[in-house]
Amino acid sequence: MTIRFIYLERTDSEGLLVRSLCCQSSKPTLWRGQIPRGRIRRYAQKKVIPGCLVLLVVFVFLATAHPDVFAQSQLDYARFLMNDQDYFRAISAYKQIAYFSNDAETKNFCLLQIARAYLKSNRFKASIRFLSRLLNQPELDDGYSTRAQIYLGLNYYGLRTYWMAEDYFQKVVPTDTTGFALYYLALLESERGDWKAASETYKQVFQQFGPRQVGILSKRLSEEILKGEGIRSKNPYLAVGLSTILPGSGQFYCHHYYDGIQAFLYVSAFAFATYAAYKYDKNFKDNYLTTYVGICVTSLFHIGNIIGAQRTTSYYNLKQKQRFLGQMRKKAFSIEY
Amino acid sequence: MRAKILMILCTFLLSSSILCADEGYVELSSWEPEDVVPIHSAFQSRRDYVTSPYILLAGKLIGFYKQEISPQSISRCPFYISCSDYAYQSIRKYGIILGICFFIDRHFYRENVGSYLHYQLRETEAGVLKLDDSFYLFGKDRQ
Repeated sequence: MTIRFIYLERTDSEGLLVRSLCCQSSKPTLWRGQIPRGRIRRYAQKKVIPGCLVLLVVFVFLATAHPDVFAQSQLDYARFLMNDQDYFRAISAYKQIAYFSNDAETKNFCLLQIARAYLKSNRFKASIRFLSRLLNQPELDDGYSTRAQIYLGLNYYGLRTYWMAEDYFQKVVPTDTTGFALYYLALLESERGDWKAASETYKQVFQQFGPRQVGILSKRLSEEILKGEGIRSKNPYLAVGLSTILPGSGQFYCHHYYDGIQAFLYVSAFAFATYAAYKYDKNFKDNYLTTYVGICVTSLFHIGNIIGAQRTTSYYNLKQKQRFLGQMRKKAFSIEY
Repeated sequence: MRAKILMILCTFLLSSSILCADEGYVELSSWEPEDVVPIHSAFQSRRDYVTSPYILLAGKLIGFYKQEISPQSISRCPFYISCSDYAYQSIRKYGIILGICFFIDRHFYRENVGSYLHYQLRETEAGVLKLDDSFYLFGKDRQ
């Protein structure tokens, strides 16, 4: 087949000569922009479609006969989601793998990761449920058991059930090779306010697991945790005494200034009203009913002020302790189990 | 005059001894996960009957306020436990007189601009952030 390019000449409506480039072939005739569709169709029918069909059959065979062929990529994806802190999707991905996989090891791994994701998203009860399911698995590896119990301890720590957390951590101290069980035990001791014991435990972690990151951090924390002994706390008895003498001064003592001002204003207003009622009753009435009512109301407000001072002091002390503990927690959880 | 004052004092002492805290009041145990179980539902699931007639009366009054009066106004209480709930729980726990004192401390003294500086925020069931001062009622940290 030969192709020639020729100029077609024609005259337009105004009588001017117009030339246009055209492609002329012997057989078939191809005009400008025309595609030989029949050839492509024939070519596709012969080569591409059968090839695609073969590939599809192979893919379907692999996907149905060997589902674990794609498991690694799914695990990678789930791991990526965990690292990206997208715990909700990571849980879905791990659940999918656990459901479709026949391998017990993979299932255990997925259960552990689901529990970890729930723990990281502060859904402690759900995490405990999955860890319990993992611990009930037959022929569970010791490594998984230790890790599951440490995660259980962390969950109970998150729920502020320290005695349960301590129980789990103490159980796995002999089998734990990472040093985290002892490390978290020290954290629990600091939560109780036992600063010296916490420091000693941190030192123990450093002695046993010195070269590791947990050991290095423990050494630093063992020194810093002793600063807890120097937390300035307010005396609740002093606050109560101050508030009894001058309403609102107990709250002022604990830096709750607005509360103090309001307490002083309310109690003084009612006291003044009671005094005015007494003067009125004395001069113009033969009974003191208004005065008695005034005394009762003022007493209630004054007692409320005293109770408030005591509670405010306790709350202030707790907040001071929690502030220090918050810093310690932040440092302690800077490394991840 | 003195006799009347003495009479009032005696009545006060007597009433404080009679109007004692509710014996049926059961506090949340320390291991109850409050972040999973909301505080109100946890209380509902517990034994919820009243032994003292005074507390029953106070409960009825507060219930009437919550059902009839409170819905007519906007929710403006900045605290996680609303003032009416706080009053009822404090009355149940500490008795009528001390409970009222607790309520006065909360409603008259602590509900001000400064409270935003001191208390932590906590999300309610409706997804609203409110200030959590439950330490004043329960006497321990419940964050």
